[in-house]
Amino acid sequence: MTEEALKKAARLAGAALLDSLPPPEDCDHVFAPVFEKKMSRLLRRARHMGLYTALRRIACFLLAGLIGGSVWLTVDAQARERFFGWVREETKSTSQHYFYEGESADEAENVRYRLPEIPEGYSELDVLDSANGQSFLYANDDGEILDFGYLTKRTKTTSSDIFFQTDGMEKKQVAVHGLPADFYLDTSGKIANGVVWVDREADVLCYLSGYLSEEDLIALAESVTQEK
Amino acid sequence: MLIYLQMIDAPEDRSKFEVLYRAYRGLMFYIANRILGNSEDAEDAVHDAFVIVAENMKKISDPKCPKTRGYLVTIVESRAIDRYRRKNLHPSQPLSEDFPGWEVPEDRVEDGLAKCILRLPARYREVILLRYDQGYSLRETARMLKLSENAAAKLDWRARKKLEAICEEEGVPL
Repeated sequence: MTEEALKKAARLAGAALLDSLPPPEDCDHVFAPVFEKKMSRLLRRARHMGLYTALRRIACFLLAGLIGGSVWLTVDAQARERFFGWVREETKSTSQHYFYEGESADEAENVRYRLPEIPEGYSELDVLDSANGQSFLYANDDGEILDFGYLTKRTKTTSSDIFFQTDGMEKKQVAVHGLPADFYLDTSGKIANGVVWVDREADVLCYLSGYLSEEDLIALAESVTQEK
Repeated sequence: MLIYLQMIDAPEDRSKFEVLYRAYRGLMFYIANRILGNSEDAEDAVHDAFVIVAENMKKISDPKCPKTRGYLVTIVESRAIDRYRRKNLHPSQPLSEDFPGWEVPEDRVEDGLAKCILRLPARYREVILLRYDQGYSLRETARMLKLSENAAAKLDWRARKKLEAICEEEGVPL
């Protein structure tokens, strides 16, 4: 069978298949609300699909993954700071590694956090769940990403590590609800700023990154609420 | 970085996806429901298909052309059969490669080889249509059928062998 003959026959078969179907406009169906909800999220994601793909590839100040402690052999032991049960270590590649060093919880903490209001022009793009937390991605029409997430204590079977790439960013101490927090300021004017703080009541690490000013990002951090 | 991101997030791609969704979701449900016989599963198959479509939007030039419609039909049929297989997998069940899928009446086409393509089990027909009617590469076909490139190559080879066997049975010259 030649490739040319196969292509010709495949075209005829494809056309016959389409002819055997009803016209699309005659195929009415009322979809269930759960389908509409899932598709609504997919449509939003599709609007930013290129952005979403690139975001995962070239994240600047963003959750890069939950990483096992054994990877962190290149940590500069001097650059280590503690926030309640959490520790921040600066790696030699100028990334920031936050991990939980306090006592393990018996099971994953049942706490959830939300941004009660997102800045004007942003809509939800995706929600990423991990064993010990969640990350909420929002985007505006300019393709700017806002990322809010939190990480609860490790358990006996899960670790609580988070890694932020902060190359070229200036780290400074700020206050969220009057308590010390780490602010990462982009000095190039090209990437998102970020803030990392600990909810001391629950010992949960929270973070926000976005193309917002220091003042706006901290105000947004202070608006985060815990869902009971 | 932002300029680059905005370039790859071209506005026409986002509108194309929405046009596809509005125009074809009913037809895609119709096909999935005929295969699965269950509205809830059929809706899930339509969603699965649109996830694949969203990931491959660059491959679609005109949302309303027959090629695009053929592509969507193939993808939703593939997802519906996968769902059917996952729900009904049992040692006595036929393998998904033998599943008939959407059946096309033979009188729809006169060409002997085309008739034999329509007699192929759905999985084989899908790979033949994607590769030789739609013109997708092996890598693209693999992504659309959620297979490794190696598995897609094997499927393509088996589909052609099966087609040759059907042609021989039917006395269709090759």
